[in-house]
Amino acid sequence: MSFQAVKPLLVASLLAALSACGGSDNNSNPTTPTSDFNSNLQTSVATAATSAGLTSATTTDLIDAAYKDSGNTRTTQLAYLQAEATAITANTDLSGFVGYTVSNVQISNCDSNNVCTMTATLTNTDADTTTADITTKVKQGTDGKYRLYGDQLSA
Amino acid sequence: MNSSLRLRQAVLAAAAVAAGTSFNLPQPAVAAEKAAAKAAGTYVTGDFHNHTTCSDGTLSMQKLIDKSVNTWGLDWFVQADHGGSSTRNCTLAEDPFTPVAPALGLTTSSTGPWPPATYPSGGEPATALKGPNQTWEATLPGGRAAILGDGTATPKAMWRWQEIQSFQYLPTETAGRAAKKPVWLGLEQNTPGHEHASTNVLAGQLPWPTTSGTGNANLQAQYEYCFDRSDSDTSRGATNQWDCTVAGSSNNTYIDATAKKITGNNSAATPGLGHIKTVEGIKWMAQFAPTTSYFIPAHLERAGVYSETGSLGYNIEHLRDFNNAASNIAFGFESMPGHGAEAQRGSYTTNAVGGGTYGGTGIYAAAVGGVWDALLGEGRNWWFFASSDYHNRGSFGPDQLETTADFYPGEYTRDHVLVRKGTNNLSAEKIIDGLRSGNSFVANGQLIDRLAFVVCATNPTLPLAANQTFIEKAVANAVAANAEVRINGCATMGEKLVVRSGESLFVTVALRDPEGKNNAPYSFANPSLKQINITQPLNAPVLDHVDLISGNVTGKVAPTSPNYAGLIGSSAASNTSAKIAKVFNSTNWTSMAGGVKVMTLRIPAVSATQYVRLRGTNLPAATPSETDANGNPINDFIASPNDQTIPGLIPCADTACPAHMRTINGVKYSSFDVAAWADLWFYSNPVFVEVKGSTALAAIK
Repeated sequence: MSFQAVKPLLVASLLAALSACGGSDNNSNPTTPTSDFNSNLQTSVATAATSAGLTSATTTDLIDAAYKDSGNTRTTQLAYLQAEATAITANTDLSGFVGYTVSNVQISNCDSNNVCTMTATLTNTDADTTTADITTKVKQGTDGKYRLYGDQLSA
Repeated sequence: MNSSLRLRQAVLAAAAVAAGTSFNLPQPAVAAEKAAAKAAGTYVTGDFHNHTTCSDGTLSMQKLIDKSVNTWGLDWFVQADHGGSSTRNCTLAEDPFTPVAPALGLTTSSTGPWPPATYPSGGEPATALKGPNQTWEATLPGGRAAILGDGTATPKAMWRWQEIQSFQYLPTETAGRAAKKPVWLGLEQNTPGHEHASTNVLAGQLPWPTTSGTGNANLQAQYEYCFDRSDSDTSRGATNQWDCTVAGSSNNTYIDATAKKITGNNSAATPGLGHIKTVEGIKWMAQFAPTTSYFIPAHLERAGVYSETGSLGYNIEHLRDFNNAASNIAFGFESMPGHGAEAQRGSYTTNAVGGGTYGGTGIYAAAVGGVWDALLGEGRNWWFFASSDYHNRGSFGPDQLETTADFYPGEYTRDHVLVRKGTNNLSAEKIIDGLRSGNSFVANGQLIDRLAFVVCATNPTLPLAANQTFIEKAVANAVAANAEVRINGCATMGEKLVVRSGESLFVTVALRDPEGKNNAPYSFANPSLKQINITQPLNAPVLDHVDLISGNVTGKVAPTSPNYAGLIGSSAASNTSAKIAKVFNSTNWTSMAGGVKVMTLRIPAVSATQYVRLRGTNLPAATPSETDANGNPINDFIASPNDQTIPGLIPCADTACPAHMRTINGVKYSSFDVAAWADLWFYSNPVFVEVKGSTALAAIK
């Protein structure tokens, strides 16, 4: 691969690394990988109640190729999303699942494999307001994008 | 056609008719209620089954209500004496009102002189012909002539319908309004064909927070006249001229032309007639007070197996009949009886179904996979309740803290009920709504005092751990507020979560094991735990573990099915899929400040309609004579035998073990109130999960 070919990746990685070093997203630079991830995650979560949202490119692209979460791989997770979307379409009386809005996304502590810690705040306002700070893993791909990485546990 | 056959057919017909009447409207499958549609609520404590001298209790109404809502702090209270008749005027206060000092080691005497040297052995109110022990005939201005209806004895007994309608209602309303708590009248019905049931017809009564005007208990009184087995009055309520007809019921043909009610009962001549009458009563409630009545069979194992020629216990088919007749009226049972401090716990004997209680609970609910699980396995709205069933303090006075018989309402057993009152005051109507909803739990000895219990569907756009963190925060918040989780995609007790097959679920619980002391008057080490070298003050219990019990729901059993009727252990009374799915304890729950514990079980891919419920205890599994290797409660007669002349199995060797305990050859054994305080349990009501393509849960919201 020529330098020209890898240059965009290097730039993206550099930007991502800079952003990841304690970087937070205040929408001050919407073009950074962190802000892209933040935006995509918010969109994905916000549209999760719809069939289209569950299977959107935004949502599916947030799942890393090496995603593993309590045994769920990217493949099984995509199948899960599809099944959920199908069920929503077919049934109007489902209870649905817990809905959130996501804020305060922070990515930090990236390791040599570009696996980082993502923290965020989840909020639900269905009736009472509930907020919880969550921590999960994300991985930055060779395209510079951060994606959900799961807990990497097999069960 | 002989009468037996005719009545048997009528029982079946009653069940069949009830299932299709307007009183039990078919409920189409509907989505679980959305969070925004649920008014904010809080869990409140109460009791609905206790006695005064209006029936066979020893205290006045005033004193019992005061004990319940003031001394022991219940948030609501339903005064429910037996039906039938009584000679005593329970509305009179204790006279002289000489409360026995609330301290231990008091010297009692049956002859006096009384305070300050000694105290009446039965407590002052037990003194004959004083206070609420005086007769109606002697104390009513009109004397005997003021006592209405049939009766020739001297002194003349007053029918309970008259007590309720003309004498008990106003003091009840007044006491509740003074305490600023909902207090109203119910009835422990002597159930035709069976033993007892806690019942209530609220309509007409105006308990606090209503503060103006005066209500009435006319419908409650009429229900007693019409449907109590011990009310043999035929006067139709004297000037009331009641008619107990149930609109559209084929069983009106059994109504006596004079009394205008079914006057017969289960007997050799009329087998099963009493049960029919009981079902008619439920239908009557549904007709006249569909949203403000309830029918809850009490200590339903105590009287043994049902007999169509007597008035004994309830079999599962009777519970099904009741629920079929009106699921908005008959929605649960008191499988955890009162009388918790009696030598024979729960006042059960070896003749009870199950041969006694199990950790203070009857076998119908105590046995995993038994009657309760069978009913839940049908998807019925059938909820667990408890009561104190206060009558007296046994060998102690009413103001002493020891007891060899009953605990006061709120002292030991509490029903915690979610009441959606929003920003309004607590109200009786909302409390009954809460009872009906199944969003409630029962705890003894303040083992836990708060609970949030949900099943939630995970949001697939986020990793599972993120979902779990959020849901655990939500239940912790709910426990902090003594409220429920109101989040779409979560269901709590009495509710259903409707999901697709394969859905990933979290079953998440937060509860509070309150710090400090409970109401037990004893601080010596729990003798049950002492057996396994755990030293824990009896008045400072610690939750040992929580069982998450699950069972599949396979649909309602039709009255014509061979699996509709049967005794414990039969296929009709079993749910073989029910099991302890998870045991939570200190190794897998998260402890938080204030005694709050949070725990979660993940169901990776649910495939069948099911329910989950909880129970918990202070006793580890395999505590000798208390729990088996799987943590199930053992028959209480094992530790404290029915035969009071033989030793128990759990010695109480602490020098502070009280003198009233079972003592054989100088050895004290855990018994009476000590045995109850030593052996604590809580039970939650279930959360249902309806899986599309599996069994639909029409009866569950």
